[in-house]
Amino acid sequence: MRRLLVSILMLALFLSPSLAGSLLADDTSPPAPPSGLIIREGGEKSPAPPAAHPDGVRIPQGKKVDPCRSFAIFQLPLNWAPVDPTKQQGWITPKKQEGYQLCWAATTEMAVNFYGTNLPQCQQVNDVFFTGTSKCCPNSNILTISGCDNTRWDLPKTEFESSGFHVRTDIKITDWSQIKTYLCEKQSPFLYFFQPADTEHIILVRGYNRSVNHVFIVDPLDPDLGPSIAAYDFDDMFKGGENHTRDFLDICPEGAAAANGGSCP
Amino acid sequence: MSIIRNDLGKTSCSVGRLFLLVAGISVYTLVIADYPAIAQKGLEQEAADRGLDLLRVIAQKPTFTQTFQNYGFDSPEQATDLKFGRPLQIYWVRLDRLRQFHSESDAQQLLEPPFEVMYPVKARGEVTSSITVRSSQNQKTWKASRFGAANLIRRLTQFPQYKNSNSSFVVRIPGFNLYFLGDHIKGQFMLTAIANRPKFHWEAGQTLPAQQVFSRLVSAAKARGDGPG
Repeated sequence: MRRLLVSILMLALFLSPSLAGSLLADDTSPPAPPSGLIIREGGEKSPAPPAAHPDGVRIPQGKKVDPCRSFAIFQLPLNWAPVDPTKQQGWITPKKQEGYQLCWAATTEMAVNFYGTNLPQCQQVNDVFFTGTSKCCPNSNILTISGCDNTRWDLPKTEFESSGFHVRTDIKITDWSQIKTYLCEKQSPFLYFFQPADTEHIILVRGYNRSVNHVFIVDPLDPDLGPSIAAYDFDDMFKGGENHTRDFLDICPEGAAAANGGSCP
Repeated sequence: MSIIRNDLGKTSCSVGRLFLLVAGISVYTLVIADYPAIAQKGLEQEAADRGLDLLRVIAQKPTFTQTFQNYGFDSPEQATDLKFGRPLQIYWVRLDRLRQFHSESDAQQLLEPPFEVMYPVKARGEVTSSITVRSSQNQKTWKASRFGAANLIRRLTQFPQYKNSNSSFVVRIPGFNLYFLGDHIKGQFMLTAIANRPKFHWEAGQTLPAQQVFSRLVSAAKARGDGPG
């Protein structure tokens, strides 16, 4: 009955364009212009003021061109080739998570692998849940042996620390200057934690395109689907669109941080 | 005489306007207010269109050749003739509600109200990338917020349950990083797995009643640790 009434009313409006026009006339405003795409070639037109270090120290700007300030795009390179992981440095090798709950181990593996450290996911699981054993290795055992596909609230901080890596867990990124500091100036990936629905997930951040407000990520996603490469909107990630919970930043070997006064060079 | 005509004209005009005002309110009340999805459809599509315009520019710019991978392309040349495939609405299932699920529960009731739509992006006819638009909490604004995720969208769109259906949608269970293609087949809520899950005894492409899928996940949901995963 409702549908019938609606149809009659719609028909009446359709058959009386002049009347309909008079009704709509007051409300007719010009359509909004299409939003333009502002893509700045090569860099930002008006560079932001010098970024503040999280500790409040101003980063001095010399006369030399500062690539982190001058260019809108930065990314740590990807390496998909299956090469010896112990020899990889300065590359992000995308890893899938080898268990359904192992995003913590997969992102840790990618982050430390960037510095040439080989830390397979199964070994991390052994370290945490079956100390002193090799129960969950080789990798195929993760999904078949009870307890290997597991997670815990303190992970992966304890795993970073027990593997000789420095990591800051007390800062949550909220603005672009922090992204630039940790990715471009320190040339290091970081871990981004968020909460889809009621569980936490971790992805690795490896770059950005400031011109279009995008952040480049690697999501370890799934044992079967493999890792996922994507660009996420910055505001959605860091300004409340996504349920951003925390970040693991300033990742580097402990020795490098110690030699630099407690933070990564 | 002319005065009388004017008076009559004014009167009939007022009645006409009143009639149309009432009609307009009725249409709004009966159609748009009852079906908010209709009112929002345009906004979702607009956000996706803006995202596609952006993708065209970014992926094809020679200066951005090192970034095309992030947007789901193997090369800048691949990013030509971009078109949308049929969009997929995404419904989430929360772990806490899954833990409460039992064999008599209504599987449909586990789905959270959707706020994301994933648009497959076709380059030269092949699905290569995706754009996900998300709404703000009040559902008044939509924004293209995720680009790429090539392996996920390729998998979601490869099955007949996507290709041969106009009604399938995505069901996502973040607690287990699970994605399914959902649909209603002969009145029954069905889920098609897009990835192998030996632990839960299904294979990619297998279609099962949602009731059965959720039932198989309950004990794992109860046993799941409280950390990230």
